[in-house]
Amino acid sequence: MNGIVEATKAPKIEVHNLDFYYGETKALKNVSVAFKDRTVTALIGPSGCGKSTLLRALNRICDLYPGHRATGEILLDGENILGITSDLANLRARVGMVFQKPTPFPMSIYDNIAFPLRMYRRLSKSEMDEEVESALRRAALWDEVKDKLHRSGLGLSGGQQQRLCIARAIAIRPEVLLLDEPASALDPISTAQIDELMWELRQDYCIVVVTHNMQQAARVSDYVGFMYLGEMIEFDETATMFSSPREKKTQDYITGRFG
Amino acid sequence: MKVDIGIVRRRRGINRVMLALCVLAALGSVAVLASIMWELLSRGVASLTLATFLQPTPPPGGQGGLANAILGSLMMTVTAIVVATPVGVLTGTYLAEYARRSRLAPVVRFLNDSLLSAPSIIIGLFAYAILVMPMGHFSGWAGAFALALIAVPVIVRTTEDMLALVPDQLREAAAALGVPAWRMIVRVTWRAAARGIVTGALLAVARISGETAPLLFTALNNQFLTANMDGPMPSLPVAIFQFAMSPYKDWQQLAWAGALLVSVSVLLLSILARAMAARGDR
Ligand SMILES: Nc1ncnc2c1ncn2[C@@H]1O[C@H](COP(=O)(O)OP(=O)(O)OP(=O)(O)O)[C@@H](O)[C@H]1O
Ligand SMILES: [Mg+2]
Repeated sequence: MNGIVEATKAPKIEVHNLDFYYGETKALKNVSVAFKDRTVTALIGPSGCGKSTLLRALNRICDLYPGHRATGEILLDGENILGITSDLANLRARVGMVFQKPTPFPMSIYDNIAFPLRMYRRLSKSEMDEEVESALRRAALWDEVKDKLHRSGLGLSGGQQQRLCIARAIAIRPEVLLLDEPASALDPISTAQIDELMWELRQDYCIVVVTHNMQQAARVSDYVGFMYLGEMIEFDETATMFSSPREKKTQDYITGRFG
Repeated sequence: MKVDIGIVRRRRGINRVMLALCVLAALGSVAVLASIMWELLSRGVASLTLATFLQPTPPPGGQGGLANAILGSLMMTVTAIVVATPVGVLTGTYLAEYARRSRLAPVVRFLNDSLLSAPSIIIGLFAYAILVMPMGHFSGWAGAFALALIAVPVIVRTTEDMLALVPDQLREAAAALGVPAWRMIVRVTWRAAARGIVTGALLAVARISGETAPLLFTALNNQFLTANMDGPMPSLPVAIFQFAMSPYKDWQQLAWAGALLVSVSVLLLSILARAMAARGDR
C-alpha cells in the first residue's frame, strides 16, 4: 500500500533532542524525529525501548504522573508543546490518542462519543446525532452498533470497543492521532479493519502508531522509526526500512533475530 | 528424586491439624451467631405485634409499642446519612483522585482511620460537648450529628477503595480527550465505582443504626412520639438499653422486639449491600 510519499508534505510534529525521565530513570535519550502531516508513521522496537514513552510525550499525557519529566523540544506546527503550562485540553483536542487496551467509558455507545465532544462544541440534538453517526461510520463501527446506540459501550467486543475508542478520538477532529499498539489485543479480522481504518484516516491526519507487528508496520505505514534502549536508531521510508536498512540493529530486529 | 516419606507424612499431619483448627474456629463463631439469632427470633417474634409499630413506648405496666423509637431512629439515621454521604464521598474522592501525591493525603487518611476506629462513646462525648452543652438541652440534631460523625469515615474509606479499583487507563483515556479532571471524575470514575460507593453508604447506615452510646449523650430519649429534632428524641437502641435493664416484664418484651427490628434491618441492609456489590463485579 505504500505509495510514493510526496516530499511536499509538511512536518506536523518535530521532536528535537528529547530526553525523558521517569524519576531517575532516563527512558528517552536525545530523540529527534519528525512526523509528517497526512502520513502514517510506525514506531517499532523491542519491548521497553521507549515507544510508548515517546508517544505519551506527544500529547503530554505523562503529565498525569508526578516525577515524569521531558527536556528538549516537541514542536506541533512550530509551537513547543513542552512549554505549554495551561490549557493542555486544547493540546489534547489537537492530538488524540488510542490506547493498547480498549477504554470505553461506563456509559452508552452514543455518550462515549457525545460526552467528550460536548467539551468542545455546542451542538443541537440532531447535530450531535450526525456527529456521532459520522464518527462511528469513519471508525467502521456504525453498521454493527446503529441499533444499540443507547446500550453500554462495555457490552461490545474487544475489537468493537477499540473502534469505539477510535471513533471517540476522531469525533473531536484532532490533527494528530497517536495509536499505542491499537490492535495487540484483537483478532486478525479486527486488526485488518483497524489497519484499513488507519489507511483511510491518513488522508486527513498525521498518524503515529506503535506496533510489534512487522506486517502491520509494513502494510499501513509510510515511515518507520526503529527505537532501541531509548534511542531512535533509524528512521526512514517504510520500503527502505524493510528492504535495505542502514543499521545492522534494524536489520536484525526486522528479520526477527532479536526483540 | 527420592522423597523422604517422613517429611511428607509430617507435612500431611500438620495440614490435618491446621484444617481441624480452622474448621473448629469457624463452627464456633457460626454457633455463637446462630444462637444469638435464635434467641432474638424466638423472643422477639413473640413480642412483635402491630402495636409495636403503632403505639409509643408505655409507662411501666402500661400497654404500648416502639413507634416513637422507630420514628426517632429513622429520622436521625436518615439525617445523618444525608449529611455524611456527600462529605464522605467528596473526601474519599479527594484522597483517591486529587491528592495522590499531596502531603495532606496521608494525614487525612490517618485521621480518617483514627475516626473509623474511635470508640463511639467518645464521638458521643464530643457531640455532647460541642452541641448539647452550648444548646443547653439534648436534641435529635445532636444525635444525628454524632451518627454522621460515625458514618463519614466508613464512607470515606469505601469511596477511596472503590475509586482505587477504577483502572488508571480510564483516567488517561479521559485526559487524552481533553476532559478536565472534575468532569472525568463525575462522568467516568464515579460512574465506574457507583455501586461500590452506594454499598459503602448502605454499610454506614447499617453501622449507625445500632449505635447506642453516642445517642445516650446527645438525643437521650423521649417517651412521646415526636418529630421535633430540636428536642430529646427516642431511638431503638436507647429504648432497648432502657427497657432491657428494667425489672418490668412487658418492657423487657419490648426490648426484645426492638432488638429484633434493629438486627433484621441491619441484616437486610447488609444483604442489599452485598447484592449490589456482587452485581457491580460483573
Ligand atoms: N511509569 C513508569 N515509571 C518508571 N519507568 C517506566 C514507566 N513507564 C515506563 N518506564 C520505563 O521506561 C522504559 C520505556 O518504557 P516504554 O513503556 O516506553 O516502552 P515500550 O517501547 O512502549 O515497550 P512495550 O513495547 O513493552 O510497550 C522502560 O524501561 C520502562 O521500564
Ligand atoms: Mg508500550
